[in-house]
Amino acid sequence: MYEYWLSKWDIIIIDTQFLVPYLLPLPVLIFILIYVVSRIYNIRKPLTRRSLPWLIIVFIPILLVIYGSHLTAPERMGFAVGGGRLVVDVGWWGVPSGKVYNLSDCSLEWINASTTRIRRLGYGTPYIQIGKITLMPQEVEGYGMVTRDAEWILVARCPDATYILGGPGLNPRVIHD
Amino acid sequence: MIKFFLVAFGLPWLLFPVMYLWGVGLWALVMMFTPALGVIAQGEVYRPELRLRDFAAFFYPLAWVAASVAVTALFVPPSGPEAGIRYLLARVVNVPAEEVPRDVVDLIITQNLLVPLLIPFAMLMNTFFAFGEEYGWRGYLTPKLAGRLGWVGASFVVGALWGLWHAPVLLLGHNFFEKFWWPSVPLFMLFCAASSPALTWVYLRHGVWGAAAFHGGVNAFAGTYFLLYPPEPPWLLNPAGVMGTAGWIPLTLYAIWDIRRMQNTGRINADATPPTHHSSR
Repeated sequence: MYEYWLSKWDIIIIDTQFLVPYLLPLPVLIFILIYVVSRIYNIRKPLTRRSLPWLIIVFIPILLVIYGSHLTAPERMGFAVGGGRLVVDVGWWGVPSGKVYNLSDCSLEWINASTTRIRRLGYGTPYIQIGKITLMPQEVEGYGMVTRDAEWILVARCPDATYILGGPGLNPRVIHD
Repeated sequence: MIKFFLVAFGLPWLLFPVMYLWGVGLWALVMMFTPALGVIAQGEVYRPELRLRDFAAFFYPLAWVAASVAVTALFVPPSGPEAGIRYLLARVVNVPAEEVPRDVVDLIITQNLLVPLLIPFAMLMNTFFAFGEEYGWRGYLTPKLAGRLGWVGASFVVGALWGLWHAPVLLLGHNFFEKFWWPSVPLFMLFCAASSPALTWVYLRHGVWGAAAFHGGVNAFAGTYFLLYPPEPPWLLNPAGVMGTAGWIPLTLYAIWDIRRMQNTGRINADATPPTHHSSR
């Protein structure tokens, strides 16, 4: 059986690794701000213990903007497939939680990730896409989550919904495990 | 002025490959401080007075948004918030506009209705970042050129230069949504030239911080235009496009009239002595 579960903190940590190039301007920006203001207003030592609360006041809203959406994520999300069952438990951006299907009730299609590109409406960072996902050019549409390192993407057409799922190590053999 | 131009125009182009690879994002805010860095490099630092009442200029650009909407309404009937939000959201998440779900659009409309609650925060943040630009464009370059060209002439020249300065981000799709679409540069030069007399007028009345508040207000309120008109085509129906530029005409005409009046009554000097809001060091 293949299982892939993530906590919101996993997402925050993984995304931060990908966001580093995007977060890099933040210290540059703060340094330039401090430099410009201290030069203009003749502040000799702009970084003192007294200025620390002001730095925190500036930092917190910026971090909230960057990580605000992460904080709305459920504590645990993911999916499991194999042993005759498909479990989808995400509960974010329209992807249902607590769904359990017999694999025999769903029609399964495997798409190699290198042959498709993902269009997503929902949460997305370079590492993970969660929400309403469309695979192009196959034009397959459904709800689910796909990670960047997924080699295979499972399209499961179940009685009440179509799921698009991909995680590290997921492959067509797992349904027989 | 050579050091000023080298730093103010050079640093954004040094940032260009970084912004191309990693996205404009926060680098645009870094770029906004390059004119101030240019003044520091030039060694002509001055100290603008910070007065709370000058922050009232943050709200003046609402008149520009209203004028832009009114000018557009002469040609195109307003379509309501859904089409504009759908268009912008589709750009962000890279899907066709018709695929954006109705409930997401409704949620964003509701969020927009709550925006007035964020005005104090938006005023502080936008003003502070715009200060990096205004310290250079209005507080340094405009008075420098006004000695030769007069305040109005200097405003138009600085406006065109200020628009050209945006080229690195414009070519990366800022304001006009298309990457490497070269007409975005002359279009934005026109926009900035049209708005510049109003900024000079605010500078003369309220100093650099007032101009920064006004500039911050332009950045903060421009998006409200999209609540009535989706930016299609972006060069025309866009606060930074032809309609937004036309929206400046009434304010610019008033600014030119009042600047000339202030000159004639001796309230500002035609020889471009900086106003009393800041002291040189």
